[in-house]
Amino acid sequence: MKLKSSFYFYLSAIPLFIFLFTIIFITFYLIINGYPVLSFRFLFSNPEEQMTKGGIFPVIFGSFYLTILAFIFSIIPSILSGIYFAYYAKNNILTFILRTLIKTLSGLPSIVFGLFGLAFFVRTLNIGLSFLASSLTLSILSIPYLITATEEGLLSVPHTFYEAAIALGVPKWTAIRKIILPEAKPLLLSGIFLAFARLIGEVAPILFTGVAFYLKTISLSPFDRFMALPYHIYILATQHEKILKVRTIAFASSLVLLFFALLFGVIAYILRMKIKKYY
Amino acid sequence: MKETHRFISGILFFFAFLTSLLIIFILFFLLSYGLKIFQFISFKDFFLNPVWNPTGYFKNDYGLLPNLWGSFLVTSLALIIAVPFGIFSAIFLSEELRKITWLYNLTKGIIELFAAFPSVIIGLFGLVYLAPLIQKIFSLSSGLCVLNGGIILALMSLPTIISLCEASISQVPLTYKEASYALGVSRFQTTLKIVLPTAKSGIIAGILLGFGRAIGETMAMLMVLGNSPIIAKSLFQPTRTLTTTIAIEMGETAKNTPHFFALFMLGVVLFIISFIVNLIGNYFAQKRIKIII
Repeated sequence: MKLKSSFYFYLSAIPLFIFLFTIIFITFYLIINGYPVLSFRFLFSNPEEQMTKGGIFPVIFGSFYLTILAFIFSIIPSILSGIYFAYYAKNNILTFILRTLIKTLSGLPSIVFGLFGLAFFVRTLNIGLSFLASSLTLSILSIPYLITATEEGLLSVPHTFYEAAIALGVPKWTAIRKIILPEAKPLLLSGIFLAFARLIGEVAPILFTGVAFYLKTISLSPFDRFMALPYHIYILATQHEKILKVRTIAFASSLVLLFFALLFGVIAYILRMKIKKYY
Repeated sequence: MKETHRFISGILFFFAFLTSLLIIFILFFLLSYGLKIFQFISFKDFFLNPVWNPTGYFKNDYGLLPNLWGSFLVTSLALIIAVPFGIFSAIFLSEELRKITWLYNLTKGIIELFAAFPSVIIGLFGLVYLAPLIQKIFSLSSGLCVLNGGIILALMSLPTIISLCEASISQVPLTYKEASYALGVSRFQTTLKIVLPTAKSGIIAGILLGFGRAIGETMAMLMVLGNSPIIAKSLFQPTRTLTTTIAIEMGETAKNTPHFFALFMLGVVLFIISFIVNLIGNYFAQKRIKIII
């Protein structure tokens, strides 16, 4: 017997369709408004005439430099912590507290990280407004994501793999390093790419720790200030003196940022689909 | 052999301990700056003062209330919109769309990718498209208002709410539903009276964590709220939130002034709200799993 469900079906479908429609609408709205300005020159040249003309190369460069630097700081501590939680942590109250603290850290507003970066890295450690201070702040933001991704990745590998290695007399650490980690690699990479997609769009943590309105030259030194793509969009959209004139550049920059965020998001999604089905 | 094992697990524990303590370290530094405001003004002048005017001509006011009120107003509006949307979307996803695998995966993929949309981009949409629309529909002087912020925040918290609700609804055992159908109860009523109550903890977790996500949102709110430090009395007035006040004023204030410390104290308040909400939300998110397995 088929259950009658047409009314029910339509009723519960409407909210989801409205939401999906809005997502697609926003995406196309950006594409239509940003695409005409987009060109090879736009991506690879410097801003000119108070950012009303020219490209956004230093801005893209700043965003990538910043995010990659942040990952260099956070990736090793996060993976080691993730291994601890997946394979070494005992099931006791201490582990519970540590896990809860990490989970809560991941839910903290990003502006709080910005304040912390200002108080600790810029003022207490006296690093100054720079790439370094901003990327250290961002690296803290990424740590809970990466720990969770590592733990999930490691736990997705069947426990029998680990048991087989231990039964053959392989030391625990070697078993994890040679057997479990290689198997968990796609899921781990997926987590890293997802964290990258989130981090590249963050503004609040870098707002007080080094991002600059406009700079004439690109600097490779980690002690210099920098420009970043999401902050550039914010400035062009709200603070620029010729706000309507630069609107198209704001749209095109948004499109570039969205492209990178979605690219890394899609890579993460594909990697997750690639997980082997063991049984 | 034994010593290497000890050494390695010691190192791993060290890193896990260090990363877990980061949140306490953050609170410590926020407090060390924030509490200095009380050298200048009393507790009452911060927590109960309804005026935020840090650059006044005669008197500076550092009242928490306008900022807190703005945050709660916008976030509540966002949840009023997003919670019914989220719950119904989750029901449809797990009860109906799951049968068509490719469409289900595609929809989940789109929602997951939307969670990765940078907040400045959604803010830009609110500023350039939604604001003129609201202005025209309600014939206002500006479309940058609480309503705009609420809609934008609802959009941004929906992925969190949907994914948590869906995870919990899809774990409701089929036998519960079959028992209900066998008694002649319709699908709609089964969903309302059997599925939703069983999935309650996951739904509460979704709402709380969605709230936590919404109250901490900074950049999009900066772009769509109009940033006026008043206690908004209607949906069509501009307002500001804890996050936007910090973001706007921290760059312009001189270091080690009362204003500087007051902004850190706003950060402490935001920290505490988000910490409590996330703690309770995570508790409910775990509770669901325990009951069902």
